[in-house]
Amino acid sequence: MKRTSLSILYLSLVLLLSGAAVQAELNVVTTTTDLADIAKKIGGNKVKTIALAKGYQDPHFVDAKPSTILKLKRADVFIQVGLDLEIGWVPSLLEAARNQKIYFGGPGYINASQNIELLEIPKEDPAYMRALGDIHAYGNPHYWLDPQNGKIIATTICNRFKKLEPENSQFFQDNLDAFINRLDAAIVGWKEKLAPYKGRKIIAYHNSWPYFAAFSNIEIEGFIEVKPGIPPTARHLISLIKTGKSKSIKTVIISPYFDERPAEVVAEKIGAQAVAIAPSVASIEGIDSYIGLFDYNVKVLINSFK
Amino acid sequence: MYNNALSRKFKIILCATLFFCIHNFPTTASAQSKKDESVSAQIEKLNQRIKELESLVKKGQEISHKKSMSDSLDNLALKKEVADVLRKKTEKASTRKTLRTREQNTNFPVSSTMNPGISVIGSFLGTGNNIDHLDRNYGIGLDATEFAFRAAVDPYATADFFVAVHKHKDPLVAFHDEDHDDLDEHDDHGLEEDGHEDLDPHGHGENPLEFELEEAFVTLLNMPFGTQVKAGKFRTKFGKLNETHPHAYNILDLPIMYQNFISRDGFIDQGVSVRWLLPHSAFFQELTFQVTDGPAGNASFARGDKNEFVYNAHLKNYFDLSDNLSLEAGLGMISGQNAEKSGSAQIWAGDITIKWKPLQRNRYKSFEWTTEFMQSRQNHGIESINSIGWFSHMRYQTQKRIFLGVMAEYSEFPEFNTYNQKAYSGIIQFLATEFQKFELQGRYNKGNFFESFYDFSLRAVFVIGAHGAHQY
Repeated sequence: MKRTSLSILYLSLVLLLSGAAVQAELNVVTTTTDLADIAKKIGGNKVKTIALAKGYQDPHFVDAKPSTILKLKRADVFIQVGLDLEIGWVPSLLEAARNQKIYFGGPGYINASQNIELLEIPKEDPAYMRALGDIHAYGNPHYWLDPQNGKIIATTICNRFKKLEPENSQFFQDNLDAFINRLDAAIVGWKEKLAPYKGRKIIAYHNSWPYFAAFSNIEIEGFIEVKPGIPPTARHLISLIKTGKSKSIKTVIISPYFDERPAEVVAEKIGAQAVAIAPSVASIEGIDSYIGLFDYNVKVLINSFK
Repeated sequence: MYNNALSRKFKIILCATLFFCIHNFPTTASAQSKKDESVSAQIEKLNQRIKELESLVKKGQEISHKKSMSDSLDNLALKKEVADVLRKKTEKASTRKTLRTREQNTNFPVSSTMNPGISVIGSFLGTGNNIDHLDRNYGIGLDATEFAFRAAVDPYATADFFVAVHKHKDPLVAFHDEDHDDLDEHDDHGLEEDGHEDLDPHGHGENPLEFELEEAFVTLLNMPFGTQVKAGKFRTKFGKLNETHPHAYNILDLPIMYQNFISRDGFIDQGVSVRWLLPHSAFFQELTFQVTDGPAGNASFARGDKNEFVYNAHLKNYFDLSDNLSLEAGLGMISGQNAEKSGSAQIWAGDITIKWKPLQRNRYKSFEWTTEFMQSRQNHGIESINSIGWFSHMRYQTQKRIFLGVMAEYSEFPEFNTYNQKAYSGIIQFLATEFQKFELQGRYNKGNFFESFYDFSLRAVFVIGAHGAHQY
């Protein structure tokens, strides 16, 4: 009897102690892989991250599959790029998710565009905005492609994580500080490498690179697309080829979700290189982090300039 | 001996538990020591900060002592400075680095940001056929216009309003039995002997546009047990197509089985809808249950004279077979008073869709195959009439903006299962941009009560205003 009660005591002690060692992770769902990587860097082992879009998918056109609703239903945090990048698929998913934590305005809902200094805010009369193509009315949404903005995104995420789990505030802050330090050091390196190529001109497929261009001091002279969302016509490509030749452009960049053939044709005609550039983490094999994204892009860009 | 065995057992249990605790403890123990270290570091930082604040307070006290002697002079200087600032213009924004809010970043007045999402969708239609006896084989004009308003009401609900403006649509083929009324109660057109409609019986060339509040409903997003509740006037959850608005179809006309069993516009009614997401996460499964008042102009159902409502249930099942391939299967049933008000009616419907859309190049290539089947039962006392209908539609994307479709259809009629019609269609769609598309459909129609004929439709759909959700 005495030994039975002792063993029960031991068992309950064991259970108590093992319970103290385990803590539930925050379930973080993001739209893009870049947001997922940054969230993981801040949250560490206190968060579990899923990105709804693959790195090689066009984030404007991710399909709102019903199965995604199951992931959102269980999420504690939802992070989107915002600025209407995901307007075609996120609102209907959040409405159907039955999860007030992550619905617009909920405690776990994060629009990562807050506090970002935006580029290309259209000044056109709203009634004529679509004449400019499928542009984003609030500003160009591809802001994560300036690594300086990565720090702002990380801070926004860190502040929210702290609100949700105040007991882990210091942990998140330490991770944020470490991330920013690493990013700052890397930025110095990238700027040094890019310095000799200041003012270099390139051609891009879609207008997703103004933040990267501003950071790198390169200029985007033209686009394969006639206007955002309008695929190239023969006439437009001919005019682009003329521009490319006259400005001695050596680089045409393409993203993995666009048809590479028009870019290859233009590159061949102007004597330039068609370069696959990474718009997001995991869009190209081997790129598995936000810092890795810029390591890769700076490297391939410089190689094409040489 | 007994005691030795027991004590050995206890030693084993003790060692095992100690081992288990040590295995966990490093996390807690080392975490504990790490915690201690960080607490000491924080205390150190706080001590440092206290010293800094103490010296600041001391300085402040010295300054305030001097300040009291020169206050009067300072006041005068301050007044002058404030006056200067008020006279000067403010600095230009470009010389100042500020974080701007969205409202400051745009030219849009703040009041317009409180408007609902408003979009207007227009649809132009040209039609033609080779029905011999008709005076007018070709038609041209506005098919439908839709004004859509939607927004969040508050954190708990959304609201949708759709006003449709369209011409009254007469079917090209309608069954007319001498002993029964026309199926479409709006239709008072005469019929030719071979069963074809006279599309312009009054000979006036009139076909006025009609305004209709097509849908108006509120959706409560977070009801208990994972349900969402919709209330108002809405397109019911029936089959795969009924909730879709006509301009968003990938075919130019509702399938003939919908037209014959429901109506040319689909099943639209007023009532309440509850949508329950089943709590397991093996696959997406949603059960919808709806109670509605009873529709007008419906071939199978009518509003009951007594306390009778229309009940509709639908179970949607969705499976991701792979990243690029999905399967959706639905099963539903509607029950209510029949259109003649002589008894009840039921329709069972099943739908199955296979969709292939490669993740990386989903804008360039896709394939979709949908098949729907319907069985209707009309009960008149002891007599019951069973009729069926089905269609199968394949749609293949050949390049970014071009889609090719083929469709086969079969349909009987709710009251007459000995009469049937078939149709075979080819469709080409050109989606010029996200906001404009052009579609051409050619169709061969045959049946056992009319002479077969061809018809074609050309449609242009265009949208302005708020960006709607992409269809999946």
